[in-house]
Order: sequence, then structure tokens, then C-alpha cells
Amino acid sequence: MLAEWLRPVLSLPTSWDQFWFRAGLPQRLGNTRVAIGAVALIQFLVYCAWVPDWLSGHGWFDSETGRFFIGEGLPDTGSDFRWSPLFRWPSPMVARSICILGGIASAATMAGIGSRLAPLLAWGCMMTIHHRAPWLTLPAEFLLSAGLLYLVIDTGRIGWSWRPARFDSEGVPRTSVKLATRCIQVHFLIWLACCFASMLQQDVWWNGSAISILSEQGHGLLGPIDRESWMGQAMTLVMLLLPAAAIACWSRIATYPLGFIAILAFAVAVALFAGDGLYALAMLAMSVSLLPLGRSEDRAIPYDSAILPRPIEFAAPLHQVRTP
Amino acid sequence: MPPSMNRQTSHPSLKTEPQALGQLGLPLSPPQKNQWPLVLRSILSIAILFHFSVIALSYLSNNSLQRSKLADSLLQWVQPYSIPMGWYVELAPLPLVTDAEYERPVVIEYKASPKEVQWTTLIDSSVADARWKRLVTLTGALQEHDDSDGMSLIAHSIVAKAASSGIVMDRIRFATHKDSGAETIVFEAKIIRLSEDDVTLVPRFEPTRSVPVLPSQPKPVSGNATSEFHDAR
Repeated sequence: MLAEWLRPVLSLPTSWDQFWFRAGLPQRLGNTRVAIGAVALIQFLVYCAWVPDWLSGHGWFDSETGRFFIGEGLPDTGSDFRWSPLFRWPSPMVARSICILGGIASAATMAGIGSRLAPLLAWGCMMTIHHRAPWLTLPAEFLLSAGLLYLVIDTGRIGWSWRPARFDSEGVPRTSVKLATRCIQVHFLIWLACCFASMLQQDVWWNGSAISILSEQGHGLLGPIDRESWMGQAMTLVMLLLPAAAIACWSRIATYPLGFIAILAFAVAVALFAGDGLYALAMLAMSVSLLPLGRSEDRAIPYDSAILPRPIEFAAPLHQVRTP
Repeated sequence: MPPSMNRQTSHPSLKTEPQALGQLGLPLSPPQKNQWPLVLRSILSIAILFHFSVIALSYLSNNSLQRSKLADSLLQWVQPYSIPMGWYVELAPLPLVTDAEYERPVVIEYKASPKEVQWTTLIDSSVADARWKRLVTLTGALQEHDDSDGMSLIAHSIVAKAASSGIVMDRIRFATHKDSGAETIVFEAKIIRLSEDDVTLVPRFEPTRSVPVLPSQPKPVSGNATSEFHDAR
């Protein structure tokens, strides 16, 4: 009896090992990489529009203001750990160059060119902008920077090659693929959980006025919504429940598609009511890592299930089998 | 494995087992080939635990202005890791919206000369892009912490940028509206031109002091306010 109860605890190391380090197929990570790369590319195009104007030496948020707000010279503000060439070379040209470089790196990430260097470079460019003005950072950037960093572990391509890998070599399971995929998944779920927890903490999400306040602030695309209207109150409640529904659905493989639908609905709501399309896209890009892939997913099954009790020994002489 | 599969044959329609497995969509190499050593996995496991603990702590703590002392200490301890990597988030907009005063839309207005009666709108955060909304949230938070230095620096930055775009200002103010509709002045300052490219601001409620003030200089009032502000984050 006791052994029955202790079994889950005793199997924890094995479960942990399986969860993080069992070799995985790169299709899912490859799709996530394409999605994150595409949204990061859009993000850098948006950067091109505002970063040179805002973060250059005489921008709307000039260098001196930037230094003040990172707490330079004050103890315990962590300003020593912030790095950005935009403090040292605050010219619009440098700012524009960083945006263009980041955009190229994001496009390369999306295309699978440059392997791990591409997401690393895109992440570096994004961090450069983030550290220059952390107070102006929007949620999409938090998610994208995390996604890009995890893609440095593995991109769903082969090694450090500058060339796209051939399809047949992509079918090989790799531990780094699983680790990168798990990091993206777990990070995104932590983000969602914190998002849900922080929404619960705010009165406006309980009294039904959150959507109306967002619309009054001019964030939404639907115009002002009356605080007393049933639509505003109903949408507030629905929007509050969606992150929780997504997390609950992603706790079981069988309900993964429902989780994706919940996050899709949440993303649409964010775009419509909060007016933050990039945040919506970033959430969808991260959630691709949790999207079931049908056939690709099935390809990993034989190692997990009882169909093939143990992997085939290739050290033995090759057999020949009759094809159907 | 069925015994028939073990028959050796050289017929061209027959394929080797790896080829056949590939056609069936099965992986061609066993996972053991890619399994990392136990030592590496153990080290990575510790790193994963640390990494995601830092992220969860950071996200949860930055969401609250009244976090525990323990969380504060831990966050300071992990700063060398969390800040460069971008995990240490300030004013993380996780809840999308709060009912805080500082999230109200702000209008940035100016007067081109002392004789002007009407204020001209430079930026209306309710119709401006997301960066202005974030800046407005920041100014609101500064206002709540009575950090007039921060407000003045933002205003100075805006005045200088506007000047480079050909907009000459004599006064600048940040105004917001309460639920009752009453207008509230968050910040107002007079602009004094020192030279062709240099201006300074005299805040309306502090006529004895002007900005910019170098952040590294000791500031009896603003230094404390800023520390509190950063501590609060």
C-alpha cells in the first residue's frame, strides 16, 4: 500500500528526466521557431518606426532620462548589469542599425538560416533596446526575448551549420530539441499563470469594468464600452477565465487543442480590447510549442508506448523487410 | 519481431529495416544515441530549477508593490543573472489593466508663448501608440511617488525633442481627467531657453529649482523619492 503511494514520488527523477531530457523530434520546435521568428521580425519592423526617434541622444526618451530611470548611480537598482550600446553611442543611425540587424536575424531565425547564431543575435538586439529603456518594454518583448533565447539551445535545425538542414536529417530526435521546447512551454505557462494571478489581484477584473477601462484608455479597437453594459462585464469575465482555461487544458495531452483554442481566444481578446496585436501574436507564437502536430507527434509514439517495447538495435546486422 | 522479417533476401522491392522505418514515419535512430551524460543532466536540472524559480519570482514580485522582504532580498541576490537576461521586469503589464490612478490617459500640452491662453495638445495618450501609454503609466507612477525629478527629466526630454522638430514651447504640462471629469494637472513647468540648443525647466510647484539635474548628484528630496520608487518596483 505504502509502495503504491510512494511510487509517484520514487518515479519523480525518471519523470523529470523524461520530461526535460528525452530526445525529441524537431518538427514542433521548428514550427515554434518559424512563429517566433516571424513575430520577432514584425517586432523589429515596429522598432524601426520608434526606436531611433525615442531612444537616440535627443529622442523623446533621451539618454540622460534613460540613465536616470535605470537608477544609474543609485544602490540596489541593478543598473550596473544593464548593457546597451545606445547609452554609449546614442545616435539615430546606431539605433536604426540595431533594429535592422535584429530584423535580419529574426528573418534568418524564421527561415532556419544561421542556426543558433540567428536567434542569439536577434535576442541581443532586443535586449539592447530593452536595457536602454526597460520601463517602456511591452509584454510582447518579454515573451519574444524569452523565446529567442531558448531557441539558442536548439532551433530544430542541425548543429551550427549556416545552411538549412535537409529534411531527412531533421527527423533525428535530439535531447537539445526537447530541452528547448520544454523551456519555451514552461516559460509561457509561467507567464500565463502570473498573468492570471495578477488579473485576479485587480478589482477591475472582479467588478467587470476592466474591458471598459481599457476601451476608455483608447487601447481597444472597438471604441468606448460602457461600464454598465452587459457586454463589457461579460467579456471581462470571459477574458479573466481564458488564461486559467488554457493552463488547465495544457495539463493533459488529450486537451492540448482546447488549450490552444483558449489561448487563441485570449489573444483575439487582447488584440481587440487591449489593442496590443503584437502581444497577441507573441502569445500565439509561444503557444505553437504546445500545439499538437498530428503525424509528427505520432512519430514519437513508438519510443513511449508498448508498440515497440525497446528501441531497435542497429548495432546488429541490418535485416531486410518486405515493403507493402 | 515476426520471424518472416528476419529472412535475408536481395530482391529489389525489398528494403532494409531503417529505410522501411523511415517510410513508416518512425525515427531512424534510437534515443540512446542522443542521451546526455547523467552528470550533465544533473547540472542542467539544477540550472533549470534555478532559472525558472528566478523567472517565477520576478514575474510574481514585480506584480506587487508590497512584496515580502524575503522576495526583495532574493530578487536583489539574483540581479546579476536576471537583469542582463531580461527576466527582471519592471512594471510588467501582466494584468493588462489595473484600476490605478496612474493608468489614466494623459494629455501632454504646451503653450508656445507666455501670451497664449489656450493649451495646444502635443500628445494624447488615449490615441497615441503604445509607447506613449507606457510613458504615461511611468509618469503616473512617478507622480504617485512624488518624484518630480523623473517627471522633469521626461518633460525636458520631450521639450528638447519637440524643439528639434521645430516646436517651440514656453510651458509644458501633463493633464489627466478624473472620473468626475475634473482636470488634474500631473505636472507643469515653465521652459527657459539657455542657449540655441539648451533649455531648462522650472516646475510650477517648485519655482526655486530647475532641471535637468544629474542623477549621480546627491539630491536630498529626489534621491529618496527615486530610491523609494526603485525599491517599490
